[in-house]
Amino acid sequence: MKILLAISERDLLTSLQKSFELDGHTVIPAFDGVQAAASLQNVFPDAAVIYEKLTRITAGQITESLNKNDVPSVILTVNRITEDTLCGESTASSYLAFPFSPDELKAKLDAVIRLKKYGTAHDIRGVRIDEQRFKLGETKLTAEEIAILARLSQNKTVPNECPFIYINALNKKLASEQCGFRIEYVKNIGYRQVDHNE
Amino acid sequence: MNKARKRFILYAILALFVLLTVLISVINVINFTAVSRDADRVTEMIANGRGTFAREDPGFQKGVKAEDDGPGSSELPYSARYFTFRFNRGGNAEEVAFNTVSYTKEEAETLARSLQGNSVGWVDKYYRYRVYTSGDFTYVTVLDQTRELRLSFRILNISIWGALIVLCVCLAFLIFISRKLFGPLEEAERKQEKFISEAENRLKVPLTVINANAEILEKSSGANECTQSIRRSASSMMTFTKQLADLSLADDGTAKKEKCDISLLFDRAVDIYSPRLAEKGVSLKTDIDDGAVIAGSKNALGRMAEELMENAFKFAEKECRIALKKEEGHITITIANDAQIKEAGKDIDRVFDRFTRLANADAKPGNGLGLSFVKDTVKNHNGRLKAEYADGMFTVRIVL
Repeated sequence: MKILLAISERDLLTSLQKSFELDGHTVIPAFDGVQAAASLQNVFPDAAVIYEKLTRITAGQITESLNKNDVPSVILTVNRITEDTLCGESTASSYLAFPFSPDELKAKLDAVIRLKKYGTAHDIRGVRIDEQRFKLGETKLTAEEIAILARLSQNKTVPNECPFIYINALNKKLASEQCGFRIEYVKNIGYRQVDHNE
Repeated sequence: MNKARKRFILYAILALFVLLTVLISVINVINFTAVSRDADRVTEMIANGRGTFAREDPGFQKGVKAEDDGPGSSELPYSARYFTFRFNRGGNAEEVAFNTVSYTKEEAETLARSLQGNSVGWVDKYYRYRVYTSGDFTYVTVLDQTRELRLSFRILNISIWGALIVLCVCLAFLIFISRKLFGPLEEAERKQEKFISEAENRLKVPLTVINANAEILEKSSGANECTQSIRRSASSMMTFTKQLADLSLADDGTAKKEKCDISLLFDRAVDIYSPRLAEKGVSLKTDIDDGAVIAGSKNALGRMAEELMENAFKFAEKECRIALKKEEGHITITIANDAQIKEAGKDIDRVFDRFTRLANADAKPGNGLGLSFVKDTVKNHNGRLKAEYADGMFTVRIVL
């Protein structure tokens, strides 16, 4: 698997590069946004890991370029992930807050790549969800939000530990796409779809 | 403006308001009482003269200063504006005195007739009356106090406006002075928060690097005591920095307040932790009222519920109880567990201080930030909380 690592922290870039290479992946390292953009001219990776404080060209601009070519990305952030992060203008496929272990990053990358390869497009209450493009109608979804919707539509339980930020952000996106339902926690049952008029 | 400064200004203004209100009330009550008392003395004099001023009254002797127009002054019979009517048993009225008042004689007689059943009081806003009997007659004297009462109302008006102006000036002064007083404190608080945030952020990336490199070493050269130690320490530090980041969630005054079903938040926390408690052999009793709703941050309140359950899970030996009760205007949450706490002491509330862990916690993982998060969340939702340790049970009581 080809992975673009665009990280403006030398030691971190080196460590993650070695970690991925040990797992047998091909890594395209980029120390700043200019290098990342240049590498995208030659070959598109299967996925990208972008440090939010990328220098020279911003992480947002690189992610936009990746989205145009349907390359999923994970943004690394030093700040707490909030609903504003998930609902904001940045359009990454997933977010990971520092500090994290390489295994956590790999789990995120696996999730976004799996969706890219095997995701389906289907309707959910009349609104199109395109898992491969990480979209619900015109709204961008993260991999975590797609996983929540998938479990609910298959009548599987969403883990109780699922952070509120994903549920709250997803509810905002469902409302903006006028899906007609929201996700609520039900005692002894867990998260489930609830119609707006319930 | 931070909370402490706002509270200082509010309490100072409230204290000044109470003081001014009491002062104005006392001054004006004394003033009005004096006006009533003086009016009563004059009507009493008139009553003693059977409806008019008696010349032989010692108060009207020459020698009393003419400018003293109070009761007893020689000017009084000339300056007092009053009328007196007397009524016989048949109800017939006779004018006794009519000294320059704005009523017509017919109006005055009608008014006097209507006052017959009373004794003394105020009528028609500015007039003090007295009803008394002498022989077969009932006398009604009505004394005009317009000038005196208008002066009293003016004093009241001036004192109220004066007090309002004083309050406004004091408020402006307090806002200015508190900036000087609290400015350094607010600045220190901001710097401290910025320092913690910067320190936190500067730790996060290197920690990630350390952890990643330890993993690489293990994969390439095999795990050993050193690499495992590095990973354990890195993991502990990573947990600590995540908890520090969570504290900012509790402190986030800008978080939007929305309607939160806190019963569901605690149900969720119970659902997460009940299997873990069961596995540990701890019995969990819950008594959560449905539909307890407050305005707040769902993220912070949900994490608060999780932290309380995490604390119970860590320290409960055999028993854990959680109750959430909807009461009149507030919600009470009680979590109790049979933690073994040596030397709990009277200041058990110190468990809510950052980085404070009681003696029994040494063997358990943690950094002393969980209950601190709970405290900050409760405070930011205008609630209160208390810890107790009695009869082998550690209890946290929260009122929101």
